[in-house]
This record gives sequence, C-alpha cells and structure tokens, in this order.
Amino acid sequence: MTDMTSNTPSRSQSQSAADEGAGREEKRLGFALTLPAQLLVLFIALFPILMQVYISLTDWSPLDGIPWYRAYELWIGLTNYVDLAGDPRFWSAIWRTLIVMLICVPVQFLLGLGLAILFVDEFPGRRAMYSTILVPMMVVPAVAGYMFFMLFQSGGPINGILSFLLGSSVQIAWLSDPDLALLGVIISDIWQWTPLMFLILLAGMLSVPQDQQMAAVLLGAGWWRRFFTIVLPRMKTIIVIAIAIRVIENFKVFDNFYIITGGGPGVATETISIYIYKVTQNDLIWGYVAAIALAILIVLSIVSGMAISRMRKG
Amino acid sequence: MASITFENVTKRFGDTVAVDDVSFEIRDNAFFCLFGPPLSGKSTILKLILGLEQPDEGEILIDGRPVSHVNPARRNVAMVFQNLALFPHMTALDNVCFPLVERRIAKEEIDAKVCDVSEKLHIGHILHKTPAQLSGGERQRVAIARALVRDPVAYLMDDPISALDARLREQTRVELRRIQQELGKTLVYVTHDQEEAMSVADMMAVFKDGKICQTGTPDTLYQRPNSTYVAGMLGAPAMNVLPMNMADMLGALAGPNGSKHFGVRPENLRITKGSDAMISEVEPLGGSTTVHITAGDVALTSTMLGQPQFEAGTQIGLAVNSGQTLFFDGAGNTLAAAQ
Ligand SMILES: Nc1ncnc2c1ncn2[C@@H]1O[C@H](COP(=O)(O)OP(=O)(O)OP(=O)(O)O)[C@@H](O)[C@H]1O
Ligand SMILES: [Mg+2]
Repeated sequence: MTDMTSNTPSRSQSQSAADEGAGREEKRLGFALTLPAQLLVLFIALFPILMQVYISLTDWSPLDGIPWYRAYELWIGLTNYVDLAGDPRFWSAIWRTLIVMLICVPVQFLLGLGLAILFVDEFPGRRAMYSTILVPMMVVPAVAGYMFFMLFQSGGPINGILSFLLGSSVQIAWLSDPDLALLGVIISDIWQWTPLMFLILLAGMLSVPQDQQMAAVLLGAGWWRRFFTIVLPRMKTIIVIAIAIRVIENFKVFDNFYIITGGGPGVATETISIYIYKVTQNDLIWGYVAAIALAILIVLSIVSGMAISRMRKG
Repeated sequence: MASITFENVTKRFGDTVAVDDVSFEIRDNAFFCLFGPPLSGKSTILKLILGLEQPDEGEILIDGRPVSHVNPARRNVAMVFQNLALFPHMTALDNVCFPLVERRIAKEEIDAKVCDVSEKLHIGHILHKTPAQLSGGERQRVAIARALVRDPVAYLMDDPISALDARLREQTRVELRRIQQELGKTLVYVTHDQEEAMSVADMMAVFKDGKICQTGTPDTLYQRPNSTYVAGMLGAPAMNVLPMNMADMLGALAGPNGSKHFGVRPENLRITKGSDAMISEVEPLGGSTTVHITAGDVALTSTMLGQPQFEAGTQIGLAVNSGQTLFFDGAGNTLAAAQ
C-alpha cells in the first residue's frame, strides 16, 4: 500500500494494483530525490579510502612537486605492498602492537570485570568511588602521557616509592631501558582505559535482570555458579563490544605512547601508529604510508567484522 | 510439607510500613491465598518467607521452627516469580535441571526427577525449546516445574498468572489447583483478582495497607466479611452497602444497636413491583444479568440468572432475600452475621 501522505492521482481509483504501481513509482522518485545526498555521503565516506588506495599504488611524496591527483605519473603498482611485506620494522611494529594489545586488553578486561563485580551491589560511598574510578578515562591522553613520563623518570615518584618500600635507593631507568619501556606505556594504557572497560561491563552487569539472579539464589546456586551460568552468558554481547572497542583502540593508540617514549629507546616501543607517524613525518614517502594504513584498516575491519557477526549470533 | 506461621511480624522500608504487626498461620498442605490491592504488602510477605527480607519485629516459623537465621537457599521454599524469571539463554530442560545440578545429584536421579515433574506438568514435549519459543501457559508450567524438582517444603507464587489472557488464566488456575492437590504441598499464592482467590484457595487472607483484615475460607469471607472493606473486596459486582434509612424500603430487618449501614449482595437484591427505585441500566452477561438501579441518589446493583426483560427507566420496587443482610457500624466493622 502507499503511505498515507501520498497524493498521486491513482489513489482516487482505490484499486490496489494501481496503488501498488504508484507505490513503486513513488519509491523510485524518492530514491531519485535522495540520490545526490546519498552519493555525497558515499563519497565523503569512501573518498579518503579510495585516495589512499590510489596513492598507495604510487611512489608519490609531497616533495615531488606534482599534485596528488597526478600521482599516476609515479605509478609503481604493488611495489609498496611488496616492500611492506618484507619490511622488518613494519613487522616488528605490528608485533609490538600485538603484544601491547594482548597484555592491555585482557588486563583491562579482568580489572574492569573485577571492579564491576564490586560495584554491582550498593555499599556506602559507592557513588563517590565510582566517579573517582572514571577519572583516568576523562584525562586527555597527551596529559596522561606527560604524567606517566614524569612518574617514570629515574628520579621520579615511582622509583621514590620503590626506594621507600625496599629501604634502599632504587634507580631504575624505566623509559630508557629497552626491556622496561614497553612496560611503562602498557601501564599507562591500562591506567587510562580500565575505567572504560569497567563502565561498559558494569552497565552490562546491571542489565541482567535482578529477579533471575534472585531465582538462581533461591534455586540454590552459589555466587560462582550464578556468575558463570546467569550473569556472564547474558553479558556476552557487551563483553564482545567492550573487547572489540579496546582492541581497535589499542591498534590506534598514539598520543601517550608518543609522549612517554616517542617509540624509543631505539624502536623498543614503536607501535604501528608511531611507525606510521615517523614514516610520514621523517621519510615523507606517502605512498608507502598509505599502504601501511590500508593494511591496518583491513586488519581492523576483519576484527570488527568478527565482533559484529558474533553479536548477531548472540 | 510444612506449615508457615507469622507471629507479630513487622517489616519497614524507611518510612513505609510494608507489613504491619501481622500474625497468621498457614496449615500444612493448604492452598493459601494472599489477596489485596496493590502495595498492600503481599509480595513482602513472600520475601519474608523466602528469607530475601528479614522482619524488623516478630518471628516467622516454618514447621514450628524459627527461620530468621536460616539463609534463603536452605529454607527449601520454592518461588515462582510474577514474570517467572526463567533463564532465557537456557532450554526448558536446562531451566528445570538448574536446581538439581547444583546439588551434584547422580545423572539417573536427575533424569528420573525431571521425567516425573514433566509428566505431572505435561511439559515433556517442550523441554528442548527455549523460553522465547514457548507460549505463556507453557512458560508458566516450566517455571513451576523448575520450582518443583527440588522437592521443596512449600512453594510460593507471586501473581503468577496475571500476565496470561483471561481464558488461559481460568485454565491455568484449575490446573494449579489440580497440581497442588496432587503434590500435597503448601502453596502460598498471591493474587489481586478476587475471583481467582475465591476459586483456588482453601484459605485466604485479605490485606490492606500491610495489615490482615480477615483470614478464613473463601466462603466464610464471602458470607461473613468482618468489615465493609472485606465485603467490598470479594464478589463482583460489589456488595451494596446502604444507609440504614433504606432498610424499611427494602423490607430488611432492623439491625443490632449501632448499625449505620447494611449490606446486601447483588444476588440477594430482588426487583419487585413498586416505584421506590428506577432501573438505570441493564447489562446482559449471557448466563446472568446485572441491573443497575438508582433509588434517590443511591446506586445499587442486582444480579439475576438468565436474561429477564427489563428496560432502563422502568420504575421498580426492591426487596432483599431474608437472612442475607449484614450490618456495619460507623467504622465499617460488621456488627452481626447474617440473620
Ligand atoms: N525493597 C523495597 N524498598 C522500599 N519499599 C519497598 C520495597 N519493597 C516494598 N516496598 C514498599 O512496601 C509496600 C508493600 O509492597 P509490596 O510489594 O509488598 O506490595 P504488594 O501487595 O505486593 O503490591 P503489588 O500487588 O503491586 O505487587 C509498598 O508501599 C512498597 O512501596
Ligand atoms: Mg507484589
């Protein structure tokens, strides 16, 4: 049937076939009318990506003195991708990013889950503590970066506290020791983003109906059983979302890492986004950068695609 | 199998007195209805029995033993929640087994119990489905089955069938009655539907503002309510409560000293020839007819079997069936039983 606001002549004939015909016609008209807007949106969404694909197939750099749209003059095909596949610095940056992610996400998840469990039930001071826990998340990442940069100085507070606790002077060079520097940035990421995990997981936990939990209590289920058979299964979707958000964010993490260590010492904390930044700023081979960025985009799309399909099922 | 006793139990939530100095006894194997309007404290009574809330004053006894220090899971009282609280991510079978798995019972024994319960409740053929795939009535039975497999000493139901449509509700309450009798266990049942309460209960308690107004068999409460409140809560249409100066007109006997009002059930109010009153509306209900009447500025209702031919606007007289009148004092308390 046509919708009520339509005013085409065929409506007066009150013949359903005619009405349907008009409906199809109207749909086509509607489509035609919105087409320019749709194309614009599509263009805005796709243009940067298409441009990247284009540039990544060339050897273009802004210093070459030719505009980007004439980059085809420097067409090199898949060379950038081949180079990328054999670029040890790229692979080690990916590897490092994965390590950061594989440590940060589970730790953030477990800490967030633990905190959420503590905060499900009412207790005195819950509100105040809740707000306090969320503070790190609100700090501008660059500011958080400077904070941890100061904390981890060899004469800084962390060594100070350790000295006090151990009773002897501790002089650990947190940020200039290649083995420890990664730990520093990992700690800063955990500090800053556990609250987000906590927030999402708490919301999920609070949405599990109280009466189901009460029913489980009355049916004799203890805390653990209740948690694993009632609460966790009902939180599946939200857990997938929370983890997917952090995985993707961790791939893109930049500000505080850049400020705390600048990717150093050497390349000890060079994650993929810092590597991209350095290639862009220092080496100015944009075609190559575009290739890296696209490779990462594909990886992240796969990750979020898996998360979404998991959610659809759950 | 258990009796449940409340001794002067009071429960407050902040300033609200949800249960106010309540005493009553539920005998073993009784189908006991808690009946009252919303917020009268019915659910709170159940939570107290379950141990989900602790009384501020008084004592609750199950089988004669105080239970204040027994934790909810140990009281072995099963509950069917109003919205059933089935676990939506599990099949009906897993739901029913849930309370058994906890106790590490042998597999064969679990199977035997589930078989037994599903036979009683006729749910054998739907055990593989999830709650979302079941109809309202089936979900109901699965929830009851889950409460029953544990072999509790008593089970509680908080308005369990109010979500069903009228016909299914009637079927289910007959079913519940049958199940309760078969199992021979105490059932405490909350409802705000007077017809439901009257039809299923052995004994019932009428609540108002956290207090019990009267306890007794449905028949006693209907025939001999102790106040205009109880009289008004039971029976539909409600009892006619009329000022004493209308007694003569209806040919009712003079009440005891202090009578301010008298009450006549609609089925005991007969329409005669006369001109004291007027029919304002006739409501045919198939098997019976409700006639709305005005006498001066007082509205009355009369019900009778069949479909008598009355017309709105007709002048009529009224009479009461002898011996079917209640008398109330100024505070609404019943002065004497039917005479
Ligand atoms: N957890 C609670 N916190 C505060 N007040 C409560 C709580 N539970 C019940 N009350 C109050 O106690 C009173 C009785 O509530 P209760 O739920 O027992 O009524 P009810 O008879 O079951 O009502 P309904 O028919 O609507 O279910 C109400 O005034 C209610 O607001
Ligand atoms: Mg209630």
